[in-house]
Amino acid sequence: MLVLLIGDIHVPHRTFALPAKFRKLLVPNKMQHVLCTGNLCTRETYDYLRSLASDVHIVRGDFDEDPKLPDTKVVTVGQFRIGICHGHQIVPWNDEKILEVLARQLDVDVLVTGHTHVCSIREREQRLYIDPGSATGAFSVIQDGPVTPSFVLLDVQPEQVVTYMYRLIDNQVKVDRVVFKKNKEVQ
Amino acid sequence: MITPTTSGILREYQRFLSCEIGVDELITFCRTGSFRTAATRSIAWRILLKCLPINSLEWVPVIEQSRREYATLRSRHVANPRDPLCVQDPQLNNPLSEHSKSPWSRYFADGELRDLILKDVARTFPEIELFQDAEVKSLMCSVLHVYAKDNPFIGYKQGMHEILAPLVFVLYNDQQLYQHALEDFQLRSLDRTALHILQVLHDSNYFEADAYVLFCEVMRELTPWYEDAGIVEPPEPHPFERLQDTMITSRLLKELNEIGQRLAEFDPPLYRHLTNLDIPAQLFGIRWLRLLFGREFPLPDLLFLWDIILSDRPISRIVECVFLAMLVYIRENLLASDYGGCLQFLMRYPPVVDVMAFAQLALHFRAPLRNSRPKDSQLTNYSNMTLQGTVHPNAGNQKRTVSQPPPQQRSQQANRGKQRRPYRQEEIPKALGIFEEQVAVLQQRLNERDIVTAVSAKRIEELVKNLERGSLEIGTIAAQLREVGQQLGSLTMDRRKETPEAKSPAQEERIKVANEPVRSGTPRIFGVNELRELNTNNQNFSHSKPPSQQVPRDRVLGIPRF
Repeated sequence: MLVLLIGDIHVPHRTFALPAKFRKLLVPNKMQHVLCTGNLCTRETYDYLRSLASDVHIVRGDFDEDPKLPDTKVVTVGQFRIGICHGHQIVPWNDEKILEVLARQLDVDVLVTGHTHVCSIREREQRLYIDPGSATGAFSVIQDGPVTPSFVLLDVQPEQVVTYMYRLIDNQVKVDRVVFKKNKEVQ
Repeated sequence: MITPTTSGILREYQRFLSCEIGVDELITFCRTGSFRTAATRSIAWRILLKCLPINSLEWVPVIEQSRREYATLRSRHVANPRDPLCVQDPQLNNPLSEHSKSPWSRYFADGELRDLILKDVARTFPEIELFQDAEVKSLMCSVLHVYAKDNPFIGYKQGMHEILAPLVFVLYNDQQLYQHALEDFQLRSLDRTALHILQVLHDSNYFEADAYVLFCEVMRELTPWYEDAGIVEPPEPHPFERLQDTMITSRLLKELNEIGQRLAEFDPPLYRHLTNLDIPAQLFGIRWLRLLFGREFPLPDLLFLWDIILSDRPISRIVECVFLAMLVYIRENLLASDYGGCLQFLMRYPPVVDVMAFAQLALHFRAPLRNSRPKDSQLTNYSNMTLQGTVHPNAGNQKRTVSQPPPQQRSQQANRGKQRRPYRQEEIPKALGIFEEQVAVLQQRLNERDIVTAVSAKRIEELVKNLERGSLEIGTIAAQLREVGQQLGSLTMDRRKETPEAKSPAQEERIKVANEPVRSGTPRIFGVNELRELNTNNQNFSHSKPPSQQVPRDRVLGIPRF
């Protein structure tokens, strides 16, 4: 089961489109779910995500105008509970301790947050914290210098989640893989 | 109905292991229905399909070889990107990779085929629990997938899953029976080589490989019916062209055409009737042949029919005969129906009452001199219901459905009717239908009893032998005898228990009508609900004939254990 994690697209406010290389990679009929950390900003971007997979889950970012979007959302994929949140509500921004509190609150195995525009994956106390970064590489108010466009793909299997981190570095797509196993202590 | 008895299963295995039966005996066993209650049907089929040699000592190397071959085929054809043996470089091996060597790109390329197969497999035999199991489903999917990839000229076609399903069922059933026999220490007297052979043969780890091998062999017979005609542009359709006039391109249609010709020789009135109605064999026969009658018979009957079909390879001749027998069985119904009625009967073939007699008839067609024609029975099909147990669409059409009674009976009834009360014209067929069903139910019960009695007799005989030898304690023998006695007694007990239920008002009414069908005063009109109720009863009987095969994982099977 493939799950696409993507967010902070900021079209048209900060940039005009997804990078061409990413558009080529992201084709329909591959992933079954799309989880978006927000800041899509327009209906058109949402429609684009819908074209990738029929099951799209979105939380509200600070630039989303639709008031109906929730702040946090929990999606169960296979045996894993995945929580999504944009992250601007978590103050101080991107603070590890507060993120862990949120993960415990939501009782999730995987917590996906955005807002930092930096792609990162870390595992702590049997929970996986993923930041898919900004798919368009839109500038960030809390980052200096250029932002690397990135998104994350999860391959959810019965026992484990394999995460693939896609980053566009020097106009080349670079892929990294991290394997997260559930219930290591039981094994 | 019956799980093989203790020594029965041992005897069966010994029969195969000691090579005391040749191919001819095997074929006889198949035709006489010996495998209907056996635990060795999968072995018999494997031998008949030439997956196994007749000599049991050669089984292990042969079967291991075929399993190895399947493993290579599978790894070649089914891409599993999650396999740890794949390339581990994430740059190449990632789900969105565009590289042609990436296992993921192969995986996605097969997606459509996989979806197609999955959709069909999910619908296989919804009434049987085994096929709802996720593991069995995935097993069937991979078998079909590998087959489709390995035979690109056929690929996957709808209907193949229905061919695979009975094979999977038989293999699974035999594996389970073997396991139970092993756990019950019934196979203690076998020596180690024999046990090893059986163990290898029934190894559930290679379920998939075994199913694939069997499936391939069956498909070898069926491929002509599945392959496309090739792209032949039809010359230009004539304005009044009928289905049977079009150029025969595929071998399936050719076969059906031949069957039509054979019917013309064999049963001219029926052929004329169908031709007049413009119903060629091509119209309904494609499904019959492609599924090898899989949807026209309940599974236990189907397996027996396959015993017969598989024991007569190449199968096209015997299939032709089964086809003809099916038509002859519903001959009366067809002759009495119009276009719509005929189509309903052919598309939803009414369940056959006695499959043994049916098989006899098919064999008689195959070789009239060797096999005698079975006695014509009045009741051939439950024409009022479909295989799924619902009311047959023709059931409401009283004029069409019920087969005509023999002439003398008809005249008798007519006389009686004249003497007492004019029997309402439209009532007769309904009443007859009910009689017919009652007779069918009775026959079913008789069959069940026959089997139970036969097994009991066998059992008693064994006990007597033990008694003579003095190998068992009197106490155990007494206990076992009591068990047998209970078993026999329960037959009648059951009936008695059923009687009060049978006195439900509707049924009482029915019985009354059955006893004195001609009453003065207001004529009795049957409600639709009554018919339904009767039908559901019948369905229980016809479908639960050997429950041992339908619910294979249930150990006790809810039936008398011997």
